[in-house]
Amino acid sequence: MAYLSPDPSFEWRMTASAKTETEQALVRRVARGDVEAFEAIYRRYRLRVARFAARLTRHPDIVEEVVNDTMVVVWQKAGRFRGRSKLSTWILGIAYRITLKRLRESSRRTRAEVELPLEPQSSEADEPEARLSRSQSRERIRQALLRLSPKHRAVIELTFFEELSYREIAEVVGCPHNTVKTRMFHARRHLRQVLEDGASFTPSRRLSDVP
Amino acid sequence: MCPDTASPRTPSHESCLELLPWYLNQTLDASERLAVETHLEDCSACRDEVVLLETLQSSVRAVEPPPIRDRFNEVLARAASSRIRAFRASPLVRWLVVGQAAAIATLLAILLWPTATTRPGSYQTLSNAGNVEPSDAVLRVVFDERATDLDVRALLESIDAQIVAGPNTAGAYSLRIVGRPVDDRERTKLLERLRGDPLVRFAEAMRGAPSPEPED
Repeated sequence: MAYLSPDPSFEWRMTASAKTETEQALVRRVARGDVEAFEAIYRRYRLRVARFAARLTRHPDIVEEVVNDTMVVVWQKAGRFRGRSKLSTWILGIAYRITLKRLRESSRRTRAEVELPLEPQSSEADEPEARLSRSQSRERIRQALLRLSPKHRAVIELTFFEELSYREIAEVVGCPHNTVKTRMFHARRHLRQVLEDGASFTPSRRLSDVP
Repeated sequence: MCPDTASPRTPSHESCLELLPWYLNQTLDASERLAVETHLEDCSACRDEVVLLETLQSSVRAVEPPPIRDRFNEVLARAASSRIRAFRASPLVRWLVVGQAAAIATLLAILLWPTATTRPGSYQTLSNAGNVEPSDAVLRVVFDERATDLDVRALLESIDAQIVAGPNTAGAYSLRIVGRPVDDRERTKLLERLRGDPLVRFAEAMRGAPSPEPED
């Protein structure tokens, strides 16, 4: 995925060691206060964390705060990363907790409802009819996803975009495996209903109360 | 619909159904994957579910990340200052500082005892702890022990300051400001700037340069 690559402007400044060393070695360097290693992690994960946070909350100011706060925590807690999980799992777990915290704060402050646009990618080679049908179906799914709680959206995103196992997702969101499966099951049931009904949802059917 | 033919060897329809998202993203372990594949051969409902999940997967993947500004320098500044604060705030450091302060106080008491007894009223402060301060010095500063030479130099350059004396026995440096007069208002601003910097443990105006009162 293109956005996972470091920024081109940064590429030439990274030393060969920063490009090739394992992520665990990079984190060890960050724990020792190595700014170059920290910058390498920032470049690798900035957009990935932004995307994940944007799926949980679509307030642009929260997304940027989450990215920055997550990276500050990475710097502070790098010494505690033992490599038992993947670096991505650890960082997304930090981002998840910060996002939920920000959402709780923002619901108290009632932020202005400015939402990030979520532009779908399209292929030039698509036939117009197929493109229309696919885009309608995606739009319905997009609307249905918006009605899910952030915790349910997190499970969907971590499964289908980050391609994590349910065990890894349980680490990220800090809950038992069965809770991950339950959240996914309810989200799927909700999405199936949307597609079958072809109708819009009422906010009262939001899945925020499901564990 | 699948006749839910669970047996001791094969998992139930429900357990296969809930594993389908991770069957699709290929993260199941070998035994789970085999069980799901076996089940899918006989269950049209689960095969339909796979089609729905593929649509969901492509919808999720079709979303671009939001545009985010590159704020690395800002993040680094926050991260660096937070680590110094965390270091200062850690219980171990607090105990070490308290212990060190007690040891220094004891040592000073022993060393100064004859002088103090022969010269009543003589005691060490930041201002008279061993240095004659030039008349153009306006500020007195104690830097954090973790501040490097480079940190200190950068900080001094940012406020056009030069060290004119120090460190005295209390670790305080006397600073003067180069190239501009320093009135009370300017001194207040400089003190605020220094006191807000994590590399500075202590900052005060020199004698004759009144320390500003905090505003309401």
